[in-house]
Amino acid sequence: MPAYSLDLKREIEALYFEVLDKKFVKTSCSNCYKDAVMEMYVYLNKYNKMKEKTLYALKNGALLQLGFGNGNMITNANLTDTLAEKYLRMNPNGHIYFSKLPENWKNRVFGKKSKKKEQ
Amino acid sequence: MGVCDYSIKRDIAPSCDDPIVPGVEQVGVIFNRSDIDFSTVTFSETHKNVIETLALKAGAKGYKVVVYGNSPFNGTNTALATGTYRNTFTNTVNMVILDNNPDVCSDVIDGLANGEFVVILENKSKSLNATEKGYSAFQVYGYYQGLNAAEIANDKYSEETEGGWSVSLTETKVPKSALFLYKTNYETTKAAVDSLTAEAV
Repeated sequence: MPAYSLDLKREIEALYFEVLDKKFVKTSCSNCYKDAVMEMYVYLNKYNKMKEKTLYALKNGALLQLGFGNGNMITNANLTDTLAEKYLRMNPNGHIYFSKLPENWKNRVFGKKSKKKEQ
Repeated sequence: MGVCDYSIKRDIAPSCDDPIVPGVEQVGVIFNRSDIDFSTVTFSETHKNVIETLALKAGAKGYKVVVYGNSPFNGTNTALATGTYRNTFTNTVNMVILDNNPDVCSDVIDGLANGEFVVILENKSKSLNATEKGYSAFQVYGYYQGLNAAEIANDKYSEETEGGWSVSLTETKVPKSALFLYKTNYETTKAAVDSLTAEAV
């Protein structure tokens, strides 16, 4: 396998973040840069776009479901701002499962409702 | 103060739909017990030995433990420990680390020697024909007291570890015979377990 130059490695790391919205982590695996390129390729091939940048992120181990009996699972892999806010609207105490929330998340989630109450 | 209900509540007979199968799968998950975000932990209301949600603190992640072979994590067991006023259980989780280099020693072995851990193993016996499909698949060790190192050895001429490390972790004074992780169904629980080892955001 060809050795990657330092410049190429940095470029792959930057692209990885752009495409998958997560940090590239070097492991002791000998093919981790090749794996990263493959992972980006598979994602782009499947979704035809880069992963949406999100304001929200879940803690590891947390898995959300939108309502009882709803089979759709939400993990960091498919979390979007819309889904996160929909979940928080239904489960206001569910913020404990998030590792990343925008500072104004309450306004974003309950904004309209709060304004109506104030009026 | 309540009085604990220690009575048995069902027939003692093997399941015909889900016959017991020995052993565990080759891939498990380990994480530092101090990384558990206990505010997120919820137990099942219907199954007292089932945890439904177990998330880690923001920025924390778990790590995979892969042990190949026909009997991975061989020697892993739970045993009764009799006490003066109450009996408890002792959990033992064994693993081999087929590696020995400076990074493995500093990042894994030295940590294992002094830390407190939780391990989740996937049983081969998963109860997939039960009403709650797969509710016995993922078993949690170390939740109550943490697993501590009981034995760690590196034998250069070992036939089994071939110069790698053998590790035995134990958890004593465990109030419950077993703890399982289960949410909704097997797939959902598997996704939750997998998310433990994802890069923390």
